[in-house]
Amino acid sequence: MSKLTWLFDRATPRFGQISVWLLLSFALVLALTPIEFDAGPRSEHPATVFSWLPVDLIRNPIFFTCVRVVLMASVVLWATRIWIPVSCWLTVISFTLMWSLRMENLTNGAHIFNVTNMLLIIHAMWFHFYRREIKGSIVRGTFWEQKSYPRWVFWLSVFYLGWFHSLAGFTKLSCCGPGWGNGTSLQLWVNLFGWKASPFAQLILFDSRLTAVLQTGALVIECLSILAVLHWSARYLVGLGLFGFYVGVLGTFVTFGFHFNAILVALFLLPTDRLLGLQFEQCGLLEPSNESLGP
Amino acid sequence: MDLPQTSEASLTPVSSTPQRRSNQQRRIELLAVAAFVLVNLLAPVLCGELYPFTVSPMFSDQPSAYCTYEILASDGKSLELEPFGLHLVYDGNPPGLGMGIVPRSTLHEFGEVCDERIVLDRVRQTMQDAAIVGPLTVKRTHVEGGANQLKTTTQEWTVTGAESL
Repeated sequence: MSKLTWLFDRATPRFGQISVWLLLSFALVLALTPIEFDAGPRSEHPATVFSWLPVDLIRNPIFFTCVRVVLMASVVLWATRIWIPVSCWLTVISFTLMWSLRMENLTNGAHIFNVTNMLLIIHAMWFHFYRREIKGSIVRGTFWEQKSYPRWVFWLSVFYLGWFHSLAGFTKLSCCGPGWGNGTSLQLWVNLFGWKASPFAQLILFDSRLTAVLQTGALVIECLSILAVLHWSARYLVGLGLFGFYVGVLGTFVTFGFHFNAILVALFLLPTDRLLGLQFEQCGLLEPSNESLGP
Repeated sequence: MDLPQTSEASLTPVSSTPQRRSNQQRRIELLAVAAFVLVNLLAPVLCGELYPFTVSPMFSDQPSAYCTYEILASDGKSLELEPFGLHLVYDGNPPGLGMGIVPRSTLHEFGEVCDERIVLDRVRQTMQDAAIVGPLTVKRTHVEGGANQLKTTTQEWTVTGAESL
């Protein structure tokens, strides 16, 4: 365990609190998203972790509205650090349920809230494990000065962002191999779904050889994203590559809703941590144990 | 490092000094961190697409062509494609994957160019079943990879509904 003490280095909670507020603002967007129900038979395969719920409940608009209200209330409570960690876990559960209900009732859906969902879990873990320190610092009025933000929260967030994007690369490789980035497929997607007037779309549609380079570059960046967990320099490099990729994606596939992921990439993988003054300090071995002292 | 030495001190620490955390607390946190990593590494293999877990499958296919369809009534009004089974169920994700509702069957699969005869037979069948008075115009735009740019061709058929199926 002594090799992992760096995970317990701590910083003041400014970066963490800003991250939480950002995630909660995304949760509010979800809470305000209109309810949609597609007609058709239910899939035999579970679509979400809430597929076990009775179908009548899943397709019930009143239940949908109740979850929406709970989500909004818990978001407000967590944002104001009231009733923690209960409000944190309530937000996580209602957020997961809200998007699950959407996926359960539609035939098509994008992967725009997986990252937000997982990062909410990580930050709920933070508030859960550090609830005494956080509550104490709120009472004393020293919340912003108290070093209550452990490095593992930041590291896990980077891990998930890296893994999510690497998975996207690995899935493409397993489906089509390295030839996935042939340029033509991207031209077809842009032609069908893209905003063709955008300069990015014009560039992609101009020449498939250039598009193949861009597409293969995106595949390489995606596959290597998990390396962001290793070192800050790798994180910034991956962040730069992914953010550049997102700028192109957002400028082309305007209505797909990828901006949530793009903002989180910018927050955790670009040097935003330095801009916001995130600096971890060693907390060292706080309690001597036989394990650390040896026989 | 300034650390509170007594339990009393830990209740009233200096403002920026982290409170004492026992090794047991740390072990529990480490266990949670490890569980989070492990679950997310294994979930794509064990569960596949099961929200909030995902294999991030969007745009993982490799189409070489696609079609779009339009059906026009005799007065030039554009008709819904779904009753004719020519609607597109594709938004970049593999159709149906990770979704709770099975999409209605369609001849219009992204990346596929359906045989002309099958398309026209389906339109005639729908006209008969739904008592739609013809003639209808079926327009198909076929987009495929060219030398370095996409190549688009458009086909147009008139279906009266009176032809034998």
